[in-house]
Amino acid sequence: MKRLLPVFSAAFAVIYAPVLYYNWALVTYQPAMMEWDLGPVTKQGPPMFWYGVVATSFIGACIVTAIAAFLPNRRLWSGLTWLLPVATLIFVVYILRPYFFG
Amino acid sequence: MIFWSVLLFIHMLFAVTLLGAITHQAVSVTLPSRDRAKSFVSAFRGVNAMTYTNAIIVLFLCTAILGSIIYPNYRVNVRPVLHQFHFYKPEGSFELKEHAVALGAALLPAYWYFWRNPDASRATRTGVTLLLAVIVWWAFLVGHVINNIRGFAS
Repeated sequence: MKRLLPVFSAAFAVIYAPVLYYNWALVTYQPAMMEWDLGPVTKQGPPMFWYGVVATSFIGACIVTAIAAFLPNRRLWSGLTWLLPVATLIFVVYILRPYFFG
Repeated sequence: MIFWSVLLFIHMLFAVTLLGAITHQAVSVTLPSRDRAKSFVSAFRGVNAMTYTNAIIVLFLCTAILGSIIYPNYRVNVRPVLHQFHFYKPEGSFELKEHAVALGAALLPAYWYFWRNPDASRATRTGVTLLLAVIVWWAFLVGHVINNIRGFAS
């Protein structure tokens, strides 16, 4: 089962990018009202989608890892797993470019 | 107010400890040294990197969990100030920090696996450890700058 650990990390990184871009947040926290809402919801005050984005990515990565568990026991991922979070980070920088170059 | 400041301070202490541990491990896996007695730098490079793994995972998770507890306070009290004064680069850097930390936390299972698996190559360990080190350094420096702008006891 330990061989699945890199699968989870890789899957999380790959899923995180579209979840963030399309805002598929599972929950939204409204810090001004101290309320939780299901899905991406904007109310009074600044909404916090980050918790929901992490939760969606976590669930997605768990599903991918569970599917990978049923695949034949062979080397699923190479040692280049860490490159996927790097690619996602580059994508996040691209999304956030108005802060730096706007 | 005092509660949040204390929490921020504990968060910072965890971050400093994590920074030291991950830097030690990253340097020792990238530039290993067998002769520890030669100099301070050799001693720094010559640590047993494997022994840092579990501590780094625990410290990373503790720091990230504390940060996520403090995060709403930042969103309500600090971010509007950054926006008001057009501090867009620090604001964007903090946005990047939150995503980097999430990706770093998700990388921890692979990080543990590669450090515990004797078949994993040194290049793999170096890659995963350096990425974690870059994330931790980025998170620390951005947190420090934001704290200087409007943080502890403000």
